[in-house]
Amino acid sequence: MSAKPNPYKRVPGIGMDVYEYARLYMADDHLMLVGLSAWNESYRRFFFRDIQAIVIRKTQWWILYGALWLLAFFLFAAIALAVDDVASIVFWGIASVFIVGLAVNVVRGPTCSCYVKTAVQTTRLAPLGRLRRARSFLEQLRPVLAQAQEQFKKAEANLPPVVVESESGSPESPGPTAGP
Amino acid sequence: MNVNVVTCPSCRNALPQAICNTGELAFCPSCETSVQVEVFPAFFQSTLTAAKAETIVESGTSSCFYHENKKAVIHCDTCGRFLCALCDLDIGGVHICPACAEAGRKKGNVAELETNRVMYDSAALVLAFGAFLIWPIAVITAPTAIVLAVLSWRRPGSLVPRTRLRSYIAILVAILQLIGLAGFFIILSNEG
Repeated sequence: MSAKPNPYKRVPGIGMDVYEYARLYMADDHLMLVGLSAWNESYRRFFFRDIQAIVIRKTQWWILYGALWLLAFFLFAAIALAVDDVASIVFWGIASVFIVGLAVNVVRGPTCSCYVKTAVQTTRLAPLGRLRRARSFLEQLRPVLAQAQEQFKKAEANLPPVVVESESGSPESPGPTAGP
Repeated sequence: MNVNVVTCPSCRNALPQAICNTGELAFCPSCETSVQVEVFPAFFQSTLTAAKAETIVESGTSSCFYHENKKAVIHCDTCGRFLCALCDLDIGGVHICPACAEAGRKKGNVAELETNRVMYDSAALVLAFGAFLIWPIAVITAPTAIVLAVLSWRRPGSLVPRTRLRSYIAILVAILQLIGLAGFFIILSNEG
C-alpha cells in the first residue's frame, strides 16, 4: 500500500518573524504559513476562497543590507592591506565572503513585505521578503485564486455599484469597498 | 456601516481603487510608500448573502440536529447527524458538525484543524547540541536526545514534507557525546 502523498509544496523563501522563522507552503485549496521555533511548528492556513487581497509593500532594507555587506568588506579589505603574508590572505578571504554576500543581495533585488488579507485578518507572509519573489508568487497565485473564487465573481457581476460616504459627506469611491 | 477596505500596511489608510489590480507598484497617496495591491473576488463576498439556514415550513422535512426548526442540508461525515447550512463545516471537502470538529481538534486526528505540533526530532537536535554549552549535562541530554529522536519516528511528524535528517544527526551527536563522556570517565578513573 503506497503512502498518501503530502499535499504541501514549498514556496521558495524563508523569513524571520518575531521569535520564529517561517516558511510558506501551498496545497490544493490553501496556503499554509509554517512557523518554526526550537521544537514547535505552528500552522496558519489561508484558504484560497477566503483570500481577499494581497498587498506587497516595497521596503528599503536591501539598501541597508547592501551597505552593511559593503562596510564589512571594506573593513576586512583594509585590515588585509595593513597586514602581510598569511594574515593578508586570511583577511582577503573573509572580505571576499562579504563581497559575495553583497552580490547575492543585489541579485535577489529589492526587499518587500507581503501581506495576505482575509475577512478576519491581515497577515504578513514573512518568507516573501524579496519583491521579485513576491511578485512571481502573486503571478502563480492569481489563476489559482481566480479559479477558487469563480462563484464570487459571478455573484459580484450582479451587485450594484458600491458608493461610500466620505467624512465630508460627499459620495466618493475611496478604493475597493464592500458593504455590510 | 461596515465597510471592507484594503489599507496601506504602512500608514493604515484606505488605498484608492486606482492603484488596485494594476500589476505594478504604485504610491500610497497618504504616505507615498510603494505598494502593489491585488484584490480578488472574495473581497466583495461580504456584500453577498452569507450562508443562511432555511427554516422548515412543511412537515416531514428533516431538521438539523442542533437547530430543530432549521432544514437539514447535509449530514456529518463523521457522526452522521443531519446539519443545517449554519452547522455544516467544510474542512478540506469533508463536512463535519461542530461537535466532531471540536473533538477532532482536541484529539488531534483532524490534520486540517491542527495549529501546532511538537517536533521531537528538533527537540532531540536542540538537546544534542545544547549539551555543548554545558558539557556535563550531556550525561542526561544525550540519552534523552536519542530517546526523542527514536520517538519522532513513531509520533506524527510535521504536516509539511520533512526528512529524518534531524533525528539522525541528533542520534549521531548524542552517541559521540556518550563515547566522549565514557572516555573521559575512564581516563579520570585511571588517573585516580
